[in-house]
Amino acid sequence: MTLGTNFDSVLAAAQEGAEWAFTLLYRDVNPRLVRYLAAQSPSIAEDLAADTWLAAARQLTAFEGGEDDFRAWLFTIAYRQLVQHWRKAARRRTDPVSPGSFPELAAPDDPEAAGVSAMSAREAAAALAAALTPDQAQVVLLRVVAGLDVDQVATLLGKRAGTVRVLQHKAIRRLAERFSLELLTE
Amino acid sequence: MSDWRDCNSEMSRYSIDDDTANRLLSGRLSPVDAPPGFAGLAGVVRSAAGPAAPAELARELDVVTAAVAAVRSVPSIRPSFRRRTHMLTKLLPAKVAALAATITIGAATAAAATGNLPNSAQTATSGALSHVGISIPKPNSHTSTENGKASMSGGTTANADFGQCNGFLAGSGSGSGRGSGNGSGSANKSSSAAFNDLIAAHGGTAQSAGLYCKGVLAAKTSSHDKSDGSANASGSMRATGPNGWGSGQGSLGGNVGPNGGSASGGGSAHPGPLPKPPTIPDPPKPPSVPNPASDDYGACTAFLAGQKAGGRVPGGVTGPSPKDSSAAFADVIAKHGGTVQSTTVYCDGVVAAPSH
Repeated sequence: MTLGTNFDSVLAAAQEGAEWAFTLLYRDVNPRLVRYLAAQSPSIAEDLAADTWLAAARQLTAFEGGEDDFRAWLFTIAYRQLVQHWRKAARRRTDPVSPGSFPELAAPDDPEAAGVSAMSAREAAAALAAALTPDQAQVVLLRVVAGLDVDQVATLLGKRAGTVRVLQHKAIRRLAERFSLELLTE
Repeated sequence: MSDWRDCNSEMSRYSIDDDTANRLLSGRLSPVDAPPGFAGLAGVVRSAAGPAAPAELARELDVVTAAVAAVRSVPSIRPSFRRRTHMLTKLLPAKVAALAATITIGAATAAAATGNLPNSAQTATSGALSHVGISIPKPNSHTSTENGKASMSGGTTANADFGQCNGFLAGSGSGSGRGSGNGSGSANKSSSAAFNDLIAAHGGTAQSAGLYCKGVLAAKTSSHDKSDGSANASGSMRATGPNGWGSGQGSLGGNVGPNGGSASGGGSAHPGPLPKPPTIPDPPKPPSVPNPASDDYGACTAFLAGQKAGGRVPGGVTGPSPKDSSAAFADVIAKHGGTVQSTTVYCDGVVAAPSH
């Protein structure tokens, strides 16, 4: 998932408007971006991801930093897009879901969702989020799917690092219980 | 129903340390290596961080096209440019300080060159500049030499004359002052005192000094006209050459005469190749003086040569003797005072001007 030592040159080219460079950045980050968004708002994940890239493109020339910083920056934009969407949805009091996305939604008590072997990446991310409270889900998805560390997650969410660690431990206990193979076999 | 002991047992069963939690959530903990009870979760975490599916890149073309268009539509403010701007902002005060120092030094040197500093300062300046090969008159010493050529080396005298003549002509030509003058009454009084040396060096009368100065300015203006309209941005703006001194002199002339207040030459005394700060106004042009034909230089050279050689002009051509010069150079003489003496003074000015 990384461009490694090529990142600086790819970023510089993308900041100059090079399409090939932007394509590399998109292919590198977008799968996890869509996964992160789909786990929390599956019906419009693709639209939110596209909006995230457009918002990032408008500010790309001002960005300075390494690959980890870029990923954290992009997920920060995505998180804000998500929160904005939730606020609008709360005002509308509806959250339209396309029928095509139903198979991707895992019920919290669906035994099949706990089966590890047949789970796609998107399904696995959705299953993690479905088992947790919104705060816990946010922390776990940013750590697992976005690949951010505790400090980056804390900065992104506007929380203290200690708070993020507490949320993450509670989430791990809950998820371990949920996906315990031992429990499944009992 | 379970009691609290069962609850604690369940909690401890699914508790792990920070390091294991970090390895688990970052996908570095395989299900095989996971602590008891965490193998299932480790598997799900690894799946969630798995490789891209084709569906996750389905909108690549649309998104990339739109994003690239957005990048290109943003005004180009690159980080490197911002750093340069930042550096420029940091350096600007230093440049302004250097500019002010150069102007001050130029003005002080100009004042010293014309003997207008107080006696103690004049003595000190004269001594200091003598070490770098510039001869500055000491107090009460007469600076003029034959034909109005002062003792400063490197052509600085001619430039000094230009500055002083600028002020002299402006003061004598328009009593009410030009531009943003500092008050014409006091300016006329101070100018008569300040230009005593100039008058004494060039004929002893205001009229003869005026003729000399017209020659200097005519030659200088002619040189400006030849410089393709970019004289203000040319090498004469550098403080490193002789003309840098000239810029300082221009400032002095402007300050003494009614044309004062116009910091002539101040903005042009740049210390080296620094870019021109935007807040410094362009230096005003010298007072408008009728611009005689640039041929005056040739005519004057021949005229003066004839005067000195007693009828022989360089190149072997017989020239006018002092006696019959009035016939051969009737036009030149008629234009500049009507006498051989007045024409000589005028031509001294033409030949001494910095453009030549």
